[in-house]
Parts: sequence; structure tokens; C-alpha cells
Amino acid sequence: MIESQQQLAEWRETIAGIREQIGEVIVGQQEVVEQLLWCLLAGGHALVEGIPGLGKTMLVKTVADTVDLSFSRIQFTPDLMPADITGTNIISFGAQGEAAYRFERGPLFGNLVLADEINRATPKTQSALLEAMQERTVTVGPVTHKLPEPFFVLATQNPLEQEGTYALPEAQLDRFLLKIHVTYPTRDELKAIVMRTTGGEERRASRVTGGETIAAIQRGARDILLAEDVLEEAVRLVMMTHPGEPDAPEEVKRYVRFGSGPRGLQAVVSVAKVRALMAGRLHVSRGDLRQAALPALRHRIFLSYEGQASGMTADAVLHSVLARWEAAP
Amino acid sequence: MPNETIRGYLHTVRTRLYRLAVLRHLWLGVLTGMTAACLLAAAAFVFPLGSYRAACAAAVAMGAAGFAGYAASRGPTVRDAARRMDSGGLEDRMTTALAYETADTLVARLQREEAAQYAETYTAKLSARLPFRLPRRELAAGGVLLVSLTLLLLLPNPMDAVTVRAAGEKNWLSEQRELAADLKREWEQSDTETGRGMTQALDELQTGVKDSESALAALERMERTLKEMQRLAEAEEKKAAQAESFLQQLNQRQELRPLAEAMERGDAEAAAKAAASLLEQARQQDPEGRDELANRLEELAAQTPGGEEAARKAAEALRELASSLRDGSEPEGSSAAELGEALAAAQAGREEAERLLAELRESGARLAQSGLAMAGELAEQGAAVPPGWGQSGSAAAMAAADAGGAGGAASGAGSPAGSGSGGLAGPGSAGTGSGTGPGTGDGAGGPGTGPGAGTGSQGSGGGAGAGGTGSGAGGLSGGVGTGSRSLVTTPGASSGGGTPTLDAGPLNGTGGQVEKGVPVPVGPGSMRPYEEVYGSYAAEATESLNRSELPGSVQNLVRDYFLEIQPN
Repeated sequence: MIESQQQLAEWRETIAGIREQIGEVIVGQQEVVEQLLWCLLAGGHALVEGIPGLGKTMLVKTVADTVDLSFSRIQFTPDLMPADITGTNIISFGAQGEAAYRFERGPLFGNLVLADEINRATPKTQSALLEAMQERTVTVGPVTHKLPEPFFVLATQNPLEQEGTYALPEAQLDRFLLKIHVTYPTRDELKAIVMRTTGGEERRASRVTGGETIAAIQRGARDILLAEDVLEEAVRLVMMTHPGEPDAPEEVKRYVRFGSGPRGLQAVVSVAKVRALMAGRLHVSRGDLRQAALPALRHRIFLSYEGQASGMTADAVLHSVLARWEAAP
Repeated sequence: MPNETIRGYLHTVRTRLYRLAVLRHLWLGVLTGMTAACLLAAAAFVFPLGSYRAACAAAVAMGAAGFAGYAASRGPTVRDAARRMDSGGLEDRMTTALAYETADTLVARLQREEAAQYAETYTAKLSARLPFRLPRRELAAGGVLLVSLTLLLLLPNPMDAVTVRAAGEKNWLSEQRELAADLKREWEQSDTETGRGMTQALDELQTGVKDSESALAALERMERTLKEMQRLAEAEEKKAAQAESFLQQLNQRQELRPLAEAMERGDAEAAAKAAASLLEQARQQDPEGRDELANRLEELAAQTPGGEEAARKAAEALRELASSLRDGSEPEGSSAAELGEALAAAQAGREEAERLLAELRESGARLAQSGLAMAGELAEQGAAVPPGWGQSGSAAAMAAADAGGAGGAASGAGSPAGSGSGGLAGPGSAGTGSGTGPGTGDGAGGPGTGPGAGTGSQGSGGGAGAGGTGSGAGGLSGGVGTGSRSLVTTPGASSGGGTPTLDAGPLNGTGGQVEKGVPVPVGPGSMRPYEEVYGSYAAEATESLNRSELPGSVQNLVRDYFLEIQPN
């Protein structure tokens, strides 16, 4: 809960510290870093997408370095099995040689889990994450194990066009609060990356805060005020992604098969609140909604065949939605 | 409890927005009104629109008042004010503060405090933040409209004359209705056959003028009424003339002169005494003289004027007197008295006829004078004015007849159709009549008591008209389409009764026997457009892709394939 302005200022300072530490290691990608922080502070999971070599894994590892949380990394491969990530019961022998099943925790039992190249695993293994991401529990046999708090899955994936990838099921995609696109660095950023990585100095982010502070900020973000009018705008924004909505832009009506569901609205509002808090405001503005919309909704919009065949992307559709949304009086 | 601080700022902004909205709508109203006024003024150059300049001014005023009134009745709400402030850089602070103005949580209080700080800064320069500015396009449009409207209102409009004329005609029609009603009221007082005839004629005129859509139609109706009045006047004139003639006849004989004088005075008693005296004198004459007087009295009996009853009685009395003179018998004692009364009645009839004639003349003159002015205006405009309203028409004569009463001469004129009619003569001079028309017109001079003489003159008239000839032809339409399409051959279905053939392959180096089956008939193939084939195949492929769980790369392969082979 927010208890004073001073507390707000301290949180902002902490967030600025995390941002700064990440900047020590990661060159550029400010938008990606910002969105990753939104996700972290909103208590959601992030799916980071980009072609190999853009520093996705490095970014997630750096975030983990700045926060005092247990970190585990799972490299998803086609032969990875669900038990490999959730853990399994193994036979253990006691002092008197008696045998018993003991649950050996998998790498999922961490505060910050890096699911690297998640779309290289089969749908079966991908689905093993469903319960963990939604319920924050793991069920093995008759026993349900609670995952530690806070629990974040920061997954990376290669673009679907890559060979040997399996598209994440819609249900699982919906569990991710944000889908963050990692883009190519600029010319100057490329130079800086080369200078940092090929020099003798090894940079590493320092720990800025602990899990309690992160959890407190998450709770505080929920206190951010959301006026009825602003909520109405958020609902209108999400509704405009539905092809059957009269107010939807032509691109949605033509190219979208399914629009965003209620989780999309939850994601937009949650992220908007975090964004407001990070900006030092105690209320959500329409600007927050606008900034949150793209990463929170892009993986919740499913294009029709015509849309895919026409080269349309979810981002392009969302841009048209936002343009119409902002143009309305 | 509403937060007073927040509400105070919102109220300030709301008031400002209210004023801006009213001003803005006022301006839009002026623009709309000017647009409507321009259209109206432009239309007034094509159609006769009365008072369009006032209507243009009214359109601008009504537009401005209507729009401003609408804005005034629908002022901005507090929420609108909050939104407006937020859109000016307050990032939904006011909207949120308003939504949570009654919330007593720490976050809500802090948010309100922060919003109030921003609002204070905002309202400090409210005029700069919410200025009244008109878009340049609207200003330009306003300027163009103003110039256009000014030109349209100031330029001479040929339709103005038409509208003035129409208004004049309307007023004139109204005046004619009133005039007809006045005359009718006057004639209703007269309990005579002429009075009743006039009442009926004027009643019909009143209805006719009321139903008339134009002055021309009313003039035609009035002309009919004037003719009826003329007919009645002629009848009365005839009566008066007969009485006059009778009196002259009496005056021509010395012994009858006392009768004439008594009759002229309308004195029945004196007339009876004169008749008795006449008998007395006749008895003293010789038989030839009595016969001559008797003949004279019988002639007079045939010319007895006045009403039917009085004439009959006077004639009987005269004949009885003549018979007594001829027979030498003693007339009955009442004969002289009856003759006296009959002569007095005849004189009264004469006076009545002259009075009615004068009244008819006056009514006719009023009606004719009233119509002549309009007929003159219409004639100047080139309208086909009914012939009776011409300069030498019957109406002119009627109008002049009243003046003729003072000694002037009246003239009548026939219509171009060839039927002329004489004007009413004034007592001072005879009227002159003239007919117009191609040789068939005639005129008749009205009887006059003065030294005037009636003359008739042949008139002339004519007209010409030609209908235009239209021509036109519809153009031929048509076109030749060009284009091409590629066709795909769909193989026909094979069918037939071919016998399976077994080729055993080389056997002993000689090869097996090959049997040839019956040729399989192939049905004729059909040609389908490539687009159709592509569409159905692509649809099936899409359906399959949507159903199956193929890896993305494989799906893309299929999609790429169809993209490659898609038409055009």
C-alpha cells in the first residue's frame, strides 16, 4: 500500500536505480527495458521475442542481477520434458535404508525464471508452464507445490518463422502479461555493444533492491487510482480489437479473427497503473493506456488467414486501433 | 461531500468553456445564416421572392440566435471541464480527482492535492490556455460569404419589379373584394329589380375576385360585372327616356301642357284637375277636334312610361278619356283622378329610373376606375389585358361616364372579338361608341339629352403568336469491353469399359503379348477461369491449415506457394 509521498519517491528512486544498473550492461533498448520493468512491477510474465543475438537472455539475466531474487534458467529444447522443469519424485533412501519418494524441485522453483527459447520446446512441455504461470503452483502426482513469491517467468522466443519452432498455444500466450519485441540496435548502439563486449572490462549489474520492495511496489501499484472515465476508455480500446465491434477500424474487421479477451484489459490496466506509479502519479491517464496497449495486446490478437497472407501484423492492426481510439472525441 | 477546491477550479474552467461554446456557436450560426441568406438571395434572382432582403437578414439573425441558444441551453458539464483541463496537459488528473472527490483514502487525498496544484497553474492563465480563436478556414469562409451576400443584396435584381407587381396585385385584389362588398351593401338597400340584380352581380363579383389568382382574372370577372351593370343601366335609361318622351309628347299640345306640368311636378291632384279641365275644354270643341285629341290621347296611352302597373293604369285612363271624348259620353268621375295618379306614378318611375341610373353610373365608375389603374399597369407590362379595359374599352367608358354626368362626353369601345358596346351617356352629352375587331366591331352611341351625338367607329385589333419547335436526339451509348483471362483445362472424367491389360514383360526373349484394351473414352473437359480454380483451391488449403496443427514453417510454405501462384 502507498503510505506517503515519501514512500512513492523512494520507490521511484529504486526503479530508477534498477533502470540505471540495467543500462550499465545493456546498450540501448530503453523501451524493452522499460516494458520489462512494467512487467516485473505489475507481477506478470513477459514474453520477449527477437531474433537470436539481440541480447534477450542477457537482458533478463541483468534484470535478475539487479533484484535480490533467486534466478533460474531453463533452456527449452525439443526434447525437454515437463518434469525437467517442474521437478519430479525420485526414490531416496533413508538412514536405515528405507526407500521413499522425494520431490526434487525443478528449475521452475525460483523467483525469476528465464525460459529461454520457449518455442523450441514441444507444446506438451510448454503447457507445463501453464499452471505455474497462472496459479503459481506445480502439481506433481497428487501433491501441489506452491512456487515462491514473487514469481516471474521471463520467456524469450525466436520469431515463429525460424526453423524448429513450435508456436505457443493461444491459452499460454494469454498468460503472458506483455509480449516485448526486441529490435535491432542502432548504429551507435552497435558500436557501444562492440566496445563493451570486446574490451577487457566485464560489466555486471549491481543488486539494487530485494524481493520485498518489489512486492511492495506491486501492491502499491494496485492502489493507483483509475477514474471511471479512464476505465471506460480502456474498455473501449480493448473492445475495438474485436472484429464484430461496430467501432473497430477496418483493419480489425478485415484481418482479425479473434480480438483480445478480458486478460488483455487486465494487462492494459495493470501496466498502466505501474507506468503511472513509475511516473510519480497517483492515477492512471489515457497516455498510460496508450503506452501499455501495444505490448499488452499484440499477442492477444489473432489474425485471420487473409491478414497473415496480406502480410498484416498484430502491431499494425493495433496501430490502427490506437489511431482510431485517440481520434475519438 | 464534493471537494470545494477541485470544484472551484472546475467551475472557473466550465464558465470559460460555456462562454467559448456560446461564442463559437454564435459564429457558426452566423456562418450558417449567411450561407442560407446567400442561397436565398441567389434564388431571388431566379424566382420572385418578396421581401427576400429582410428574409436574408432574418436568416442570419435566426442562425446566430438558434446556434447560440442551443449552446446556451447545453452548457458544458463539470466532467467536460475536467476533460478539457486534462487535455491541456493535466493527464487525467482532474477527471480522476473528480471521480474520487469524496474518497477518503490517502492516495485519493494526495491525488486531489496534486490535481489542485496543477489546476491552480492551469487556471492562472486561463485566457491563454482557452483562447477564443476562429479557425482560418472559417474566417475565410465567413469573409467570402459576407462579400457574396453583400453583392447579392446590393446588385439590382430584375425580380424585384416582379415581386412588387405581385404584391401590388395582391393588395389590389383585396381592395376589389372590399369595393365589391361595399357596393353590394349599398345596393342591398335598394328594393328594386335593378337593386336585386346589382346585389347578385356584385355578390358574384366578390366571390369571383376572391377566387381569382391574378389581377387579370379579376379584371375579366369585373368586366362581366360591368357589362351586367351596363345592361341594367340601359334598362333604366330606357325607362327614363320613355318618360321623357312621353312628357315631350304632352308638351307638344297646348291643351295637354297642364297635364305635362302636373306630371313633371309629380302632383297627382293637379294632374287630376288638369285632366278634368281637359275634358271640360274638349266638350266645348267640335267633333273633329275631340277626335283628334282622342287620337292623341290613345297615342299617348301607347307610350305610357313608368312601372308596369302605373303604365297600365295610365294607359287605361288615357284610353278611357279618349273613348269618352270620342263618344261624347261622360267619363266616370274617377277617371281623371286615376289619370292623375297614373301620371304621377309615371313621373315617380322616371325619377326612380334616373336615380338608379345615376347610382349605377356611380357604382360602375367606381368599379371601372378601380380596375382601370391595374389594367393600365398590366398593359404596360405587356400583359394581355381583357379588351374591355383598353383605353377605349367599356370600362374606360364606365369610368368616364361618371365624369360625363358633369357634362363630359363618354365613349365606349367594342372588344377585339368584335362586339362593341356603347358607353353610358352623361346627361350633358351623348356618348360615343366604337367597336374594335377585324371588321365586325360596331359601336352604339348612348342616348344623350344634350346636344351630343352618338357615333360608331370601326376598330381594329389583332394578335400573333408562334409556338417554338423543339428538337433533340438521344446519343447512342455503348462500348466494347476488352480484357483477357487465362483458362485452366479441367480434365474430363474418364469412363468406359477398357479391358485390363497384362504385360508380362520379356518372355523367352520374345516379349509377352500385349493386349490393348478398348480405348477409354475421355469426356470433354471444361474450361474454368484460373481465378476460380485458384480461389477454390486456396480456400480449401486455408481451411486445412486452420484445422491442422502444422508447424509454422510448413504453414508458411503452403501460404507462400499460394501467394506465388495467385493470379496477377
